[in-house]
Amino acid sequence: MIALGLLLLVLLAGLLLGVLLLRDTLHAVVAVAAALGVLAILFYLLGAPFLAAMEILLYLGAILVLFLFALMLLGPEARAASAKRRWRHGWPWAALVLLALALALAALLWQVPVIDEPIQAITPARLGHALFGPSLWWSEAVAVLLFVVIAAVLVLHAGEDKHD
Amino acid sequence: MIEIALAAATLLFFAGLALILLRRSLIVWLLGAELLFNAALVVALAGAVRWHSPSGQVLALFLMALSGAALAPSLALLLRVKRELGTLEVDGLRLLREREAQDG
Repeated sequence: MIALGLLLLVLLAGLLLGVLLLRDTLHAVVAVAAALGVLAILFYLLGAPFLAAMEILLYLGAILVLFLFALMLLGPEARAASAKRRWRHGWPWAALVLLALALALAALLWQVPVIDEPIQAITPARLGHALFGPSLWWSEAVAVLLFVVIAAVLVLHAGEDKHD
Repeated sequence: MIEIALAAATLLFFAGLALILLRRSLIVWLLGAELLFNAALVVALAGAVRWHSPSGQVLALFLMALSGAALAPSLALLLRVKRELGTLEVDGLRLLREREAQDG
């Protein structure tokens, strides 16, 4: 189990490095999709089968497809980035800050004590009881939020039409 | 296994932040924001394992809905920015600063 986890970690690191370095945004989106697939396997190993399924359905099936749609609508300019125009102005400073942050995070992670909890899978039924029991009003709040998002996107789009 | 989950969350967080700080394209920024959301999700799941409680998974589910809800208007705004300003590069979006310079 630990060996499989380490393998997933290496895969994830490689894919995320690919996302950072790939020149074509479309390729980067596909690399993120692969990384999220790896993450779904990790969720399953962590005893969250429902979340693993939702990761594939929601992230791979909906969110990354949204990205692909946006790329299609934005045209070829959004995809290709020449080597010169890929990085921001003053990126070496940002890279320095990131390096310091990486060292700090590695030092923190090094101090995490080994917690040998046995993993009990939380079944979808138990998750459903929690979702519609103690967290019922939070679920309703999320539903209202999603409705507001639909209205917001419609308003943004309507403004676009008026502009023409 | 919890340590591996935390390491995965660290990787995701770092990659998301690097995308936002280093890359120039706005759509890559949004990709980085999604990676940051996923880092938070993995930490919530690690908490669920640590305390054998479904609350962590409920939190992760809400985070998923939240990231989707944040992404949809962001992408709509992105299309709008491209149409109004003709660019998707972060360095090109400095209209506020230029207006201020003209006024002053």
